Amino acid sequence: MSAVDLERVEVLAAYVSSGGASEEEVRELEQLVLASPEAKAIADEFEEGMSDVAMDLEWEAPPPGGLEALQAAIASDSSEQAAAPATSGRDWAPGETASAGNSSGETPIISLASRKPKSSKILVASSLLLFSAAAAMAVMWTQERNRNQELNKVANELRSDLDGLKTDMVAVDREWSGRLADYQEKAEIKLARFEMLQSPQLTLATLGAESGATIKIFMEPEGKRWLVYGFDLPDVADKDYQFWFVPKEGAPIPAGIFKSLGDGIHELEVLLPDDITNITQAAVSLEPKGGSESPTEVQMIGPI
Amino acid sequence: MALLWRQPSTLANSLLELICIKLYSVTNDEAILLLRQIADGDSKDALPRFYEAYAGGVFAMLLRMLGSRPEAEELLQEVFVELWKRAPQYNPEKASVKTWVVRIARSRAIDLIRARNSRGAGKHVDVSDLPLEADPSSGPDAIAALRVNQSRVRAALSNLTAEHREALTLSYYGGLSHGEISQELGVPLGTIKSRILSAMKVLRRELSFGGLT
Repeated sequence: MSAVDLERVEVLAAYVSSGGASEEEVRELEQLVLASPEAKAIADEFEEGMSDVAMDLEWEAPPPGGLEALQAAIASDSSEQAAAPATSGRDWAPGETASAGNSSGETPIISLASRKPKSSKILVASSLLLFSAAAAMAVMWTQERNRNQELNKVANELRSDLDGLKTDMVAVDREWSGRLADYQEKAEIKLARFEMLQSPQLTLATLGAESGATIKIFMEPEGKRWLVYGFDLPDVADKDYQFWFVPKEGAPIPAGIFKSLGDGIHELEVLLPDDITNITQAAVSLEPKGGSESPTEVQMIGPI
Repeated sequence: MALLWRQPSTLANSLLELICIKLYSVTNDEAILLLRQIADGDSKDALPRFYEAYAGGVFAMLLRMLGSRPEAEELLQEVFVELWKRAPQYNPEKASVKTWVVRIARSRAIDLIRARNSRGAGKHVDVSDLPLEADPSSGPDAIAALRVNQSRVRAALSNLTAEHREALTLSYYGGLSHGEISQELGVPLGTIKSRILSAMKVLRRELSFGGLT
């Protein structure tokens, strides 16, 4: 990552960590953070710094009983969350104790009835009725519990699937956002060149070689920005074509390495430094990969 | 313990100070351990320590953001319930505990501010200046570590101009976007961004964070 990008990271980190950044700025910082550990470190440091400011600036006694209220809220929340799994872990349920006792033939109801068979018929009948109702409720409760467990299971599976989908969507979004930014950048460069080439004030200089190769130099009206295209320049293994400013006096000044576009076509965008004003000629040479400090195999030279 | 530090006797002051520092000021490693214990279901010992370490700072921040004590009290509890619920998801590699706490608390407060604004319930924007002088009466006297941090932050803020502090306050505590601050103050957006950036550069220099020079 270049220094310019890190400066941008610092600006964005300052905006985002202090709040108030636009969504575009937040997204831009996220992309830079994903692309560079250095960017992530800077963004983290800014957020940590602002957290120090937020937490250490002032202290206010929490409301009396706040902790106790918090613990009560958590206990209530815990019991609600734990209700389904806790009951599912048990091997009994409310109402089932009565039926368990009944199966042994020693329930209090039977015993009570056997002790007072004549005077307590109504009581026995009532007790049987209550017992039946309790048993019915136990069955209903068990059915309801099973149903809730099934629903919870399905809900948990759906939630898990949803979380996975969200994670995937975020990853895809980030990947495509990154690619889109790359394409946009490339498109903007092409558009700028296209607009420059359409300018009626554009100046054109041509250099030629005996081999038939030509160089077309398109210069902006101010002459500071040059687009240079080479034609019929065959690619040479382990060598680069290098462009040179040739001043009226003094040694040629290296101006950049051509990028090969294939089919003998080469491209180079040059920004003429402000301190160079006496350029009268331009040259192209063939140099070892990466270029040289002074031209060695000059291919063509001519006035501009 | 909470009652003891509020009215410490002169004789016990030094001892209480030591105890309270231990009790209320936790390092990040200690806070991570507390969060792990909370995630494992410890709401009897770890949760009170965690609450006592962070509730005062969070409550002050919520009060400044919301401007309403009842709302701040209610949100304080909601924030800590959320922290308790999300304790198992905390990842020490992503942020310090303090930053994680601030992130959740501030996010909840901004949600509340926006909901309040959308209801037309009146916008609260605290434009009162941030405290710049060390204030021994603010917070428990016994917490020396807290006082040191507070003095450091306030000294850093005192190096900002009033305009820079205003922009930063509206942005961080008011939950306003740069565009909204621009409208609120009737100042061009570029100026607001420039003020925020300048303020952050000064804070970075004074508090030694980030990479701005």
